[in-house]
Order: sequence, then C-alpha cells, then structure tokens
Amino acid sequence: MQEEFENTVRERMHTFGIQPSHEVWGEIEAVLNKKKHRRVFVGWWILLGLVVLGGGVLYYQKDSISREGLNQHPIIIADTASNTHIAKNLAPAATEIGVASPPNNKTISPNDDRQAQQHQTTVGDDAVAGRNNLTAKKVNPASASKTAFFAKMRMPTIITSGAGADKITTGTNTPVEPLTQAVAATTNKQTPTVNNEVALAKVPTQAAQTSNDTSGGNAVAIIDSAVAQQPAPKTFTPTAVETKPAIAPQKKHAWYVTLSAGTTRTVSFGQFNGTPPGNTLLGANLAYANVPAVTALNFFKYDITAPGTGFNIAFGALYERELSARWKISGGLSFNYLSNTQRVGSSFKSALSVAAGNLYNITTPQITLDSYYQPGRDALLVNKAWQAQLPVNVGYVFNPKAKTKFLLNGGLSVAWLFNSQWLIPDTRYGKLYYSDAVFNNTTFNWQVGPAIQLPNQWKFGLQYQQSFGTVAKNYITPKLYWQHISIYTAIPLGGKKRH
Amino acid sequence: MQEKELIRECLNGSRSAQQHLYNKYAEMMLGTCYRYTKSLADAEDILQDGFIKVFTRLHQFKGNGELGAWIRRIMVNTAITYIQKHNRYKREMQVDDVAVHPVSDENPEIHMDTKELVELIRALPVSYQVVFNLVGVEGFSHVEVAKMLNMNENTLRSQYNRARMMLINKLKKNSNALENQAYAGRI
Repeated sequence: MQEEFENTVRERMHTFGIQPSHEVWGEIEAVLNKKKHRRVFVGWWILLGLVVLGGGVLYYQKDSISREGLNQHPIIIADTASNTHIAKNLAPAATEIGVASPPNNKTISPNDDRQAQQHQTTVGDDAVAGRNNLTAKKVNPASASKTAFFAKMRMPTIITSGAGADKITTGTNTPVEPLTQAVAATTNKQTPTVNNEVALAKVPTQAAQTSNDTSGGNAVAIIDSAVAQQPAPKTFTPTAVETKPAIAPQKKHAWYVTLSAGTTRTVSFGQFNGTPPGNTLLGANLAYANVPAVTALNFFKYDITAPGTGFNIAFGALYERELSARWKISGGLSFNYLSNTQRVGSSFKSALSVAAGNLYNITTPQITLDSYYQPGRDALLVNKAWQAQLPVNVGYVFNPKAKTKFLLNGGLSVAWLFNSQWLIPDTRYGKLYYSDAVFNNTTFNWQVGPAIQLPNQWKFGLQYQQSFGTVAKNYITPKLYWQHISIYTAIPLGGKKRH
Repeated sequence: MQEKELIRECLNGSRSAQQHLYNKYAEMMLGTCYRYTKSLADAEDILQDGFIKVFTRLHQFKGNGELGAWIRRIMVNTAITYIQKHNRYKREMQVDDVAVHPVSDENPEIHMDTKELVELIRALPVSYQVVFNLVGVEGFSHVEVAKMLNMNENTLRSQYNRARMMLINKLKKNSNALENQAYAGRI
C-alpha cells in the first residue's frame, strides 16, 4: 500500500520546525503598520479623486455653456470704433467698384457719417453708432435665412452692410468670393484701423444680374469672427476671410435630478468563535457573564437583538457623460435620510447609571457614553441619520441603438453622516449605546444595479449599495456594514448632443 | 491566553496578541515553508507573506477546524504562489504533459531523522518536490493539486509517482550507504 509510506512521512513532517530569525517578525510588523497607514491614505486619495472629478465636471460644464452660447447666438456684432470705420468706408468703396449702391441711388461721401449709418442700419442703428466701447450686440435674427445661408458658407458671424445686404438672402446659392483685392485697392487709405477679425467678402447675387434695381446688385458683407472682443491690431489684413474655429463634436451629457427610496439595514457578515452571530446578536450576554457585579444586577437574561430593517429616502443631482456609445460615467451629490429600529431594554442615563456602567467592564478608552441601553426586548428605538453622498458610477449600455436602453451601473461613493442618532450594539460588553467617538461618520461604499432608460431619457433603476467600512469603529463587534437596496428615478434636466 | 481570546485580540488589532500568535506558530510554519523551497531565505520570505495574510484575513477563520491547520493552508498557498512567481522555481515547474504512470507500491522504512528526510525531499527537482509535498505530505487529492498547479490530472499523477520513486531510491541509497558504513565499521 502506498499510504503507509506517505503516513510515515506525514507524521515526521508535521513535527518538523525551524526557528525563524528575529528579522521576520520585525518585517511583518512593519508591513502591518504600513497597511494601517495605507488604509487611511487610500481614503484620502479617493476623496481627493472625487473632489478633482467634481471640479472637472463643474469646469467642463461652465466651459460647455459658454461654447454653447456662442453656437446658439447667430450673429454677434462687435460694436467697435473700427467697425464704424468700416461702415464709413465701405459705401464709397462699393460705389467705386460698382457693386453696391445705396437704395436711393445716391453716392455716399466717405465723410458723411449719417449716410454711412443709414446703410449700416440693416442690422440696427447701434451697430454703427460710433461707440468706442467693445460691447457685443446680438442681432435680432429676424432674417433667419440669412444666418442659414452664411452657416452654409461656413461663415460664423456676419455683419451685413449696405442696402444690398437684404438681398443676400434672396441671392442664395452663389459662392462667396473674397473681395480682398478690390477692397484693399479702394479702401486701404481710408481704413486705417480695423479689427483683424473683420474681413470682407463680395456676394454676387442673381438679383444683380437680373434686375435693374440699382439698390440690388452685389452686396458687401463684413465677416466677423465670433470673438469680436479681442484686442484690435492697428493694421488691416485684407486676405483674412476667417472661418469659425471648428469645435470638435461633443459627446452627449446630461444633468439629472434623482429620487430614490428603499430599504436600509446594518448587517454583519460571518462570525468567529465565541461571539454571537452578527445577524441575530443573540447570546450577547455571554460577553459580560464573567463580571459578577453584572450577573448580580441582572435578574433575567438579556439579549441584544438584531437591528431591524429600515428605510432610506434620497434626493440629489447627477451629471452624466457619454464616454462612448456603450459606456457612461456619472457623478453627483445626494442627500439620504436613513432610519431603522433597534430593540432595547431599560436605559441608563443618569450619572449613577453611567458609573454603574463602568462595572460593565467598558475599558476601551475611545468609547465615551452619554447613555446606554440594556439589551433586551422591552422597547423599540428608532435610529436615524442624514447622509451626504458623492457617488461616481460607470454605466454600461447593453443596447445602445435601441430607444429604450438597458444599463448596468456600478461605482464607488463616499458618504458623510451627520445629525445622526444611531445605536451601536457592542457584543463585547453586551451593550447598546450612542457614542460619537465610536460612530463612523465617513464611509466609503460600492454600489451596483441595473437601470432602464426610456426614450424621453428618464431612468428607472435598482441599486444595491454596501459600505466598505463599518458603522462603528473597527474594534467594535459585531462589525456591522451599511446595506441599502433602493429603487430610483433620474429625471433629465438638460444637456444635448452637439455636433 | 486561550486561542479564541487570542484571535479576538488579534482581530481588535492588538500587536502583542499578533506577536503571540506568530511566536506560537512560526516555527512549525517555517518548517512547512522550508520543505517547498531550496533556501531558508526563500522560506522566510514565504513565512512573512503568509503571516501577513493570516493577520489580514483572520476574520475569515470560521473556527470550524484548528487554527494551526488554517494557517498551514495559507502557508502552502503562499508557497505555491511564490514558486509560480519566481523564475528560479517557475522554470523548473514547467513540465511536459506526459501521462505515464510508473507505479510503485514500495513502502521502505525510514532510517533517518526528520531533518535528513526533509533535505531529501528538498533535493528533488522543484516540480517533484512541490507535488510530493502537496500530495504526500499535506494530503491533498490529485484533483485538488492539479487545480492548484494548473496541471493536467494525469500529468500530476505521473509527476507524483515519479517523485515518490525518486525519493524512495534516494532513501534506499541512503540506507545502503549506512549499512555499508556499519559493515565497514565491523571490519
């Protein structure tokens, strides 16, 4: 039989030992100390990451709003002195090259400000009012087709000038040609100062070819960049027909208001020898059975019962951004109200009682008790706490092309508990007590859950959340962890797909 | 201090309790680690890693069996991880999938002290050393060990039988040498 040999070897080997060198324990101790510190550091790093993420989201949001603003305002006129010069000088220039005439077929003198203004007033008198400040004016986009036309021509913002400007919209499909040479030839003496963001273009129209109307013909447009408030250089650059700087297509993003409700409980996982199971906490009196004074005081057996299952309700705001068609990332802030119940016995609140409580062998220096409760089945106390939470989630969309999408979300969160009144069961001493010194105000959590997103962007989901850390400090037994199961809805506030 | 109390104190983070636990089991566990390695320094490295795991996972100990056995299991797992991670062992652990079973039912008597027996096991090629330790000494089944070492079960059986035969041959050689020495002494 093979086994005989193996059994002999096994017996010998299990009695074999070698004394390790002293350095081994030193190194183990060093690693354990480092791990303790690292645990603290990890918490700070996560917090820092959340702050940076939150800041980034806010910064991006601010930036995107300003960009969005530029996109949505069709025409912006830089109401500058230099534009006034242009206004003055274009009419004669146009007249000289024979492409634009005033409506009354009257030649405009370069020195005649009033007449120059009349031609400018197609976009509003203020545009050429000769102001020297740099206030940007939004043009009433009554002629939306004008905007559309120039958008097609990749001209971002336009100042129209001259009576023929209105004709631009009817002239339609003719290409825009730079008028640089002609204008430079005719106006370089007369345009000492212009904004380099301003350029000129000639727009020949069909009307000019088909109509005898002298007010028709070619129109002159002044193309301005969106950023009209930049400092104006002193020289005119005639070749610059500038187009709007292309903004890269942005991914979809959105803000949501979130509402949720569900169950909350504090739960213990596993147990070790000699302690009562965390889920029932029965038999906790064993922990102080060795103290004679306590045994004498208690005329009947007390048990700590498990904390009951309670509820949570929450509201908050959530910002979500698409990383790709399938992946999304979101972050936000929510406020939760948590509550559950705990069966307790008689309470000790007087100084005498607390002094008597010292007999209960509470020696852990970190615990300071204002009051405590005997474990038992006499009364039901309600625990309650407020929680501010910063969640960061990553979502995966299973069917990105469908109208109704199915998602799986998961992530981490950090939560601060405040204004809380939460009984801490301590089976080491068979007690339930309130103690700010022992209660963990900051907890890190993980959460996961499926969700459905309707075509109108509303979301409904289920979320399971559990804390990494315990309700009370780590040395308190049983180690109770927060556990929340909630259903939630996310109501979209805004955001869009921009291209 | 009783073991249960010791565990409780360790879980509460008491460093002195942890040291107490270490002192209680370190010697025996270093013996285990030593059987899996080719040097004492490597064995001490494994012991260190293993005890760190013990202290960080002590809450997982359910108290169903002996604490010593639980710690030994952690040490064995740590040793396997160490061997699979370090090149000087890893290279020798790569074995061909040869499913030949040289079976031997020999059960020779062991005429040597434990330390010498341990050195004989350590003198085996790494793959034989590990397989013999896991199956022959720790008592894991072939299926379990095949999973642990990510090995084909037949290959594992073959490896174990070869390891066993090699060890028995070494034992025989050793006892022959001892007999010759004794005979020579009589002359």
